[in-house]
Amino acid sequence: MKYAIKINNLTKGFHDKTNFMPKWLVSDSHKNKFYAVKDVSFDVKKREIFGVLGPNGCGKSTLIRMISTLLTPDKGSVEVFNIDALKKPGEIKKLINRVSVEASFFKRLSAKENLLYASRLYGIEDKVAIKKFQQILKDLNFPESMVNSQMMKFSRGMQQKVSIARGFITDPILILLDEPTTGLDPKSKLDVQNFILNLHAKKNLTIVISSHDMLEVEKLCDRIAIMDKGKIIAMGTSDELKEMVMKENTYELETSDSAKSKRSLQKFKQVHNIITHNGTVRFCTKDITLVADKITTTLKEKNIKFKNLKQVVPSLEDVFLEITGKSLEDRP
Amino acid sequence: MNKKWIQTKAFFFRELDMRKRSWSWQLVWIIYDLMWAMSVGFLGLGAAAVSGVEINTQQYVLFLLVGSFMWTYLSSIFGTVSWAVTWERWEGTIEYTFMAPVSRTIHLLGNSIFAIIYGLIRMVIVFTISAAVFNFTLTGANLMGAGIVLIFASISFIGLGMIAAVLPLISPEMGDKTTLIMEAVIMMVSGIFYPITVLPVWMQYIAKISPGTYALEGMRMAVIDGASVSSLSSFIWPLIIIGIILIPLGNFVFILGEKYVKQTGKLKRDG
Ligand SMILES: Nc1ncnc2c1ncn2[C@@H]1O[C@H](COP(=O)(O)OP(=O)(O)OP(=O)(O)O)[C@@H](O)[C@H]1O
Ligand SMILES: [Mg+2]
Repeated sequence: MKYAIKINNLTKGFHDKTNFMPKWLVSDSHKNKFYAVKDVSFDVKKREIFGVLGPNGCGKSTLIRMISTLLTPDKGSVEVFNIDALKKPGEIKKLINRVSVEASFFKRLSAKENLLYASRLYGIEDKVAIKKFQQILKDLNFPESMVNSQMMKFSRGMQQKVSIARGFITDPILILLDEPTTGLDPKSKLDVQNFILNLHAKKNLTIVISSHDMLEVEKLCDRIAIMDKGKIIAMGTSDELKEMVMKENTYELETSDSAKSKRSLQKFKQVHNIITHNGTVRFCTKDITLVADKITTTLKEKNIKFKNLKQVVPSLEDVFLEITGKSLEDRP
Repeated sequence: MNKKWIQTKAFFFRELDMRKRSWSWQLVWIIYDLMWAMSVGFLGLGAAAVSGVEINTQQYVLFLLVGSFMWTYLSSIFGTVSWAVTWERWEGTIEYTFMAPVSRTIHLLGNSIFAIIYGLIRMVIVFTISAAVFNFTLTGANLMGAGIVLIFASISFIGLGMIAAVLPLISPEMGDKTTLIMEAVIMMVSGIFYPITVLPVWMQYIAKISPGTYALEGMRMAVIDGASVSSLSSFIWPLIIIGIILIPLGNFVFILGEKYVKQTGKLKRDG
């Protein structure tokens, strides 16, 4: 058995929420079904760290919920360690856990009370659980004195750390991390990422991680699936994915007026995939001479101050833009 | 076995911790229960003066108070079991509970054990204080009979609570409202402060299938008349039968509800 997860033609639709008529009044053919995940197939090998990358609403969480038996697929199959998720969800539950972006807790209870509740559900004795979560929280740089405070007093980052402890306290061999670092400050983000990598190095652990942070996915994952509108549109290692855009060269420059730079660059037919981000502008083109010559002069003519124009290795964002024609950071 | 025990403990202590963390609210509920029970007691004391007819006031007050105590207990059980689910929906923890390898039976059992103990504590407090205020004793009561009625009444109400718990599971907005209505209807048809014979005939049919009816009447016979266990059997048997039907039915309905929410994606907290 080589695979931790095997997914075949997985599909899940939801009824349109804009429909105000009670469901029983509407005949089946008129029910508007919209597909959050459509015909998705992929495998995850044992001990792999598999990333699911995509913009908001592309279906990442829906996919992860189906793997974790919280949603029943409309069509297709999910197998976790060769166990059919539809036929034997109970068997799978023992092996997996999930950390989600919204850290759901009993907010009035303390971190400790919440963690003990979670570990008892898996039949773990309190003594064992306490030892385990103390270690995990320490690894995550969570202040030990806070475990007896109520969750509602915690910042988002601290809640998320408790949420990660809840996920790992049961020693899962497959963990599903649904945007585990979204909304965390850079330091906490790093704490979480390092914790995940360290644990993966030590244990027999398969990880599925969803994110819309390409750098994170690139840093953590062995393989990445890029999702858009409920479908997987590309899959491979980050190098393989980048090769998809390698037929062109990617450039980057720094400027104080990225919007104006973008407009100027858009005038060139040979320039594609322009992304602006935090004072940098990236673009792709095959035509090297164009960059050295015309682009530089045009920007200077238009009085756009820029520096550090250089060729760079394409990022996953470039890949996403190349395939979908839109930026990963664009909100739908 | 040990594992199942730890899992049951999970639900029990979760409920207990929650009450501890909101102890001031528990105090409020108990005071409310107490004031309610005593008001009803005073209503009995005033009955003769209001109606201008001589009645056996002591008997009437006891009749009313037993109704109050039983209802404090039974509504606490019903409420605790069904509210446990509402709470989990609000917090969004239900996804984690449903993802754990724990059977629904254990889930509901853990909640129910807590519900019984918590309901008993509330009832004992209300009972002790009202007994002092209204100056009555249980000397003539058949306590064993009362205990048996209480046990089987609990089982039926846990079953009802389980069925009610499916409502907040399916729809968090509508669920808790419907649960309260359900409780109020059961209270009214079960003869909480009156014999069910005063109800319109069609309501009496509903009363016949309500476990509350047998619980209240059985409890009154045991406490007020000191009826023997064998003469209580006409109340105990219906409670046993209703319990045997409701508990597996509650479990079954809840599992159906779980299937439904997993199919429709209603488990998710926000939309
Ligand atoms: N339980 C549900 N009921 C109805 N619609 C849903 C449900 N879950 C998801 N959707 C819809 O399906 C689509 C995909 O949602 P999903 O949460 O899987 O996206 P996502 O990739 O996780 O997005 P995000 O990055 O915002 O977390 C969205 O349009 C969402 O509104
Ligand atoms: Mg999501």
